[in-house]
Amino acid sequence: MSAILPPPQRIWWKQPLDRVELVWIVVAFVWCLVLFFMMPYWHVYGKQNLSSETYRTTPDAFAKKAQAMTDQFKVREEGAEKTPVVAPPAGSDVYLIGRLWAWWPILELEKGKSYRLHLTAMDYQHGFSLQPENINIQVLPGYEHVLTVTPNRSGTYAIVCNEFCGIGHHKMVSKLYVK
Amino acid sequence: MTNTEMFRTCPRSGLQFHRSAEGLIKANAVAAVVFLLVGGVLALLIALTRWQAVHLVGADDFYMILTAHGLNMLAYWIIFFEIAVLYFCSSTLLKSRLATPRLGWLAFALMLIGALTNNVAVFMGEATVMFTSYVPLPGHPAFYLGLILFAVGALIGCFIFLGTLVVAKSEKTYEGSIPLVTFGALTACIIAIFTIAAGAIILIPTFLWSAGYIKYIDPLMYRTIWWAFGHSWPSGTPLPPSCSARSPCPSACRAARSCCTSCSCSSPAPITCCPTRGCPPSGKYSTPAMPCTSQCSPR
Repeated sequence: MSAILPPPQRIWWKQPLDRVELVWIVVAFVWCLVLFFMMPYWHVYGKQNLSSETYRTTPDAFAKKAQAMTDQFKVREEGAEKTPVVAPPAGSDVYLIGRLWAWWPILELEKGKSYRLHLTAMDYQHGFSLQPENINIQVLPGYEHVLTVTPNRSGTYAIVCNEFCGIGHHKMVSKLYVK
Repeated sequence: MTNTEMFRTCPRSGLQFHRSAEGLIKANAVAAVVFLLVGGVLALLIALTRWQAVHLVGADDFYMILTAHGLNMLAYWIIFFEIAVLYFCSSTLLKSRLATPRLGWLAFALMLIGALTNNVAVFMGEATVMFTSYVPLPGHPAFYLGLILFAVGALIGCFIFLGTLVVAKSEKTYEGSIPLVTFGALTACIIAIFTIAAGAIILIPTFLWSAGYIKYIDPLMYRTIWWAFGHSWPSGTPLPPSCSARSPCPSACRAARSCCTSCSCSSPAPITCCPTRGCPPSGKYSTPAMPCTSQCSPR
């Protein structure tokens, strides 16, 4: 039977099924089931998909909270921009701003302690990407994304923007320290 | 009209072509491969830039080329070719005349004008917003208008396919079931209608937003609906100001390749900002401790 011609018999589905065709149908169906159940499984056990909470916010309201945290827990400044490095206490709410084209401030967290990490974008959409852990979340303006994070390895991590945000997108890189 | 005038039998394949349909199939298929060629050349430029030893083009042009590459490959090449396949699978394989060939040419014209308009907006450097064009990253209104025209044309093409199935059935050009390939095309057509309509639904308000008629588009809503453009199963706050929404964009800013326009950063002084090939959000960075970034240099 050619695929480009109408089937020769009107009731074509009552013809006996070829063994090879049956095998392929079963293989395809089983693979579909595997893919389907992998989605919820990987979300729960894959330790890769973030279960973030999302709230509405405004750039001003968020900036105020980030500024208050920075004023209180700043330990030093870094780089040409004199970006503040902030070491907030364990268990507290920590704020990170994405804007054209920087992350602000630099966070210094403690290994094994949990934090509530709040993220927002001031202007356009940005992408929070923590490397080399490869933890990613899209950060939208007008929304506050909250993640509970527990760093399990000390060191210096890179935060890169992985959503296009204009001509300086590739320069939007920062650090995250874990002590 | 006799059968021989309306139809032509291909001497090599033996397939029977409706003459009006044949012209449309050719036009759509040729347009498709031309856009594939353009997208492929752009892909080469992208690869030669990502290859650090060559690093062909600067950031400015790289992002522009990447935007054009995405659109030409993922929208224009695929959908032009899909329309050609739909006409072939309905008209030729069912030995039927194509429903409304004139509307078919209207659909083709809309798609072509839309695709060209969109490409011009991108290559003028006024819509470097990537294929996704996430709001509130601003692009020129012609960018969105071009995509909308293309989507409307493609939807007309889909309905001409469905109309041809109806014509073939009622004129009994075949017996029993439709061929397997035509069945596949029907599935593709149903998915295309859903997804292209989703694209049009979100791009129409985005076009109005970029032209300044709508104040705010929710970025989360945009992202959700936009991803239904091409995927059949997609996954009120104060406005982060963008020039195009709150105040008209200076034309000098739009025209400039690397947009440089002042933004009201209070620290340390009015500064010059080059955020994108559009207008920058202004007045956001008023907290003294959060000075503008290095790309913003004091005037």
